[in-house]
Amino acid sequence: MDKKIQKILEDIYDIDESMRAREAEIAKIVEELIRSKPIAKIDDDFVRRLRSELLLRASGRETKIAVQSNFSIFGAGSKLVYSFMGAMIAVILLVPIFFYRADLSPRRLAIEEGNNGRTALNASVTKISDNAFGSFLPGDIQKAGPSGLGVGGGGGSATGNATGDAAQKQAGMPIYETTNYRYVYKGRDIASLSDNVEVYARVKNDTLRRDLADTFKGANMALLDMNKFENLNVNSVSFSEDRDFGYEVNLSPLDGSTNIYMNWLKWPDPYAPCAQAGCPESMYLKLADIPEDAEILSIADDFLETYGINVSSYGKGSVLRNFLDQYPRPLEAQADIFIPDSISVLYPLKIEGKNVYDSSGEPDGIFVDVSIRYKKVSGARNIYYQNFQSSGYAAETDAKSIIAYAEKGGLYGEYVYENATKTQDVELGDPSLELVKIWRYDNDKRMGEEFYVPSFIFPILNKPEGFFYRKNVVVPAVKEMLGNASDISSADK
Amino acid sequence: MDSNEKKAIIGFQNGDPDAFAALYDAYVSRIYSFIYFKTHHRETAEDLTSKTFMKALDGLESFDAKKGSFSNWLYSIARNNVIDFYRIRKSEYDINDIWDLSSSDDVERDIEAKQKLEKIEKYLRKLKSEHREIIILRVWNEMSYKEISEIVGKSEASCKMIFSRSLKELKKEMPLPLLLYFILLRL
Repeated sequence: MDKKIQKILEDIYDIDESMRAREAEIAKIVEELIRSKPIAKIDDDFVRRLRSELLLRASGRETKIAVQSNFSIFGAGSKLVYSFMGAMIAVILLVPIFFYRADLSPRRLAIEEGNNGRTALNASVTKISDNAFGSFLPGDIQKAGPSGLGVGGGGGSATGNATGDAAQKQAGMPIYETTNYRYVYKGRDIASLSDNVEVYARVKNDTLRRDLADTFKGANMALLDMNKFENLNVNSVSFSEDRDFGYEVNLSPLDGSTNIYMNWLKWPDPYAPCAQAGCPESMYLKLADIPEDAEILSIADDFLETYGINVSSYGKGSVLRNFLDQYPRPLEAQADIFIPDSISVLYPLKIEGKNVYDSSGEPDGIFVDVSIRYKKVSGARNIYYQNFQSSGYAAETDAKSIIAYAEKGGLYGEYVYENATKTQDVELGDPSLELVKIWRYDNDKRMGEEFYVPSFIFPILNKPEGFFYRKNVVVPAVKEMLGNASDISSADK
Repeated sequence: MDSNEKKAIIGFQNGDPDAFAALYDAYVSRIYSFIYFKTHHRETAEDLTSKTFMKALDGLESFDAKKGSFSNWLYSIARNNVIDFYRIRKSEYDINDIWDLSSSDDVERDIEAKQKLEKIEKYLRKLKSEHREIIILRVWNEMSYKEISEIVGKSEASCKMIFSRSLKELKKEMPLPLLLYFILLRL
């Protein structure tokens, strides 16, 4: 007899010796009980994720918001709750829950004051085992993030077509000029390569999504019975301010992001008169209308402070005037400069002090849009939950492979025309090793996942004229992302 | 109470947030299994495990070891979460876990768990909730009577007594053909 069963039986006999006479029957019952045990294998990913959430919450427990107790109004007997009241209370609860869990709570920020009275909440990074995020084989890496940032960027691909030449000739059309770009490294030797790098991933807060869903679940909503839906999670919620120059706030617990936009219905529309007779020239903004950087920064900083948006993991804001790059200098001499209604301020994200870039090698972070016309913030984008895990990965240590990969166009490659009318060299300068936001598609989860991967950013030294938008070439430092550098061909990209 | 457990609780109460990780690591699998055996559904068990530890985290600061063991406290939170979960959905019944629902009730269950429990389920359902819990803790969670006594808040002796009586009940309830089937299986 199995020892486990024997032990259970012995315990029973201690209590009731008469059961010994029925051992065969009792043993079979115990045996059947053991055989019937459902498999309760806990998912390792779940354990890690919950651990990170708890540690984050533990680190900020001094400012608990009594959210859980409020949930009981949707608990037992919830069908008695007036649906309208339930919905309203739910909406009121959502904001503090989100901001508490997302570490953006104004209450919390008020407590943790740091430099110059600004909020000073630190991002949390939990170190987990090596290779914990799975493989990063070249085929798994998305060629573009969901926002479309960093897509391609080279080669006049907007109009070029590698197979279109013959058709154009036959039709008697002028042959469109196609250019192939050849990347040539002009920097110094790349030295001191580490054999291991830390990759970061933002921790998803699934508990928050379920908590938010539960807020609605118990309530018998006016239009439908939420109880009938199973395994509900909240992906996103929106709120809008009903006041002049009010905002619309979109919270997305799915990816831990918040975006703030102007509530269009509550902002004046300067172009409304244009519908009748076109816009008078005086309506368009001029170069002189753009405030000085100091004023723009002050408007953006005040907004972040007012709304308790934590920027302690971010660098100082800088005004993005790159929309003016396309115009010849001096700008004052140009007659037709289009000035947009708003100008952006970027607060660059840092993870453990390292700068973060998007997949095209441009700084990434919170973008605050300042309306030039009204001298007010018209939006703030890319505000993310700052709870990360980090995991070590083997790095590429062969400088030649890194340069070879860069010369083939880097992460996003370079389109090569079969019959290009010309080839132009693009020079790459000394790279810097930075964290770059890279997306990987998870076939099992059927969704993209964002990672911050140490990568070499090679600046382009001589930007070709025409349709060439790249400023950098990005090469991930993680060895497996590069695959076999010698196998990389332009056709693969 | 285990001395490491005590240290972790004191550490946490003295302001070390990482001390909670030690408690989490020690209990997460056990709490998950405890909940899973009451829900038979992976997502639900994960959800309630999360809630259990979130509540434990919120309440640990005021936890008083003199009033009871940590495990008793933590399992009570888990048990109450399961009760809340089913009562919200089936408010007309007095339900403690999935065992109190009829098998035809419209609740989510993992197919694998349903199949495994096919033969024994209806007999376990007939037991009192507390008795069933002790059987499950002993046989499926493989806990000692000492551990069980801490969780259910009874003496070791009475846990043993309940276990023994529950098996007797099961023996009475199980029909002869099923017992014969077991015996034949054993041959």
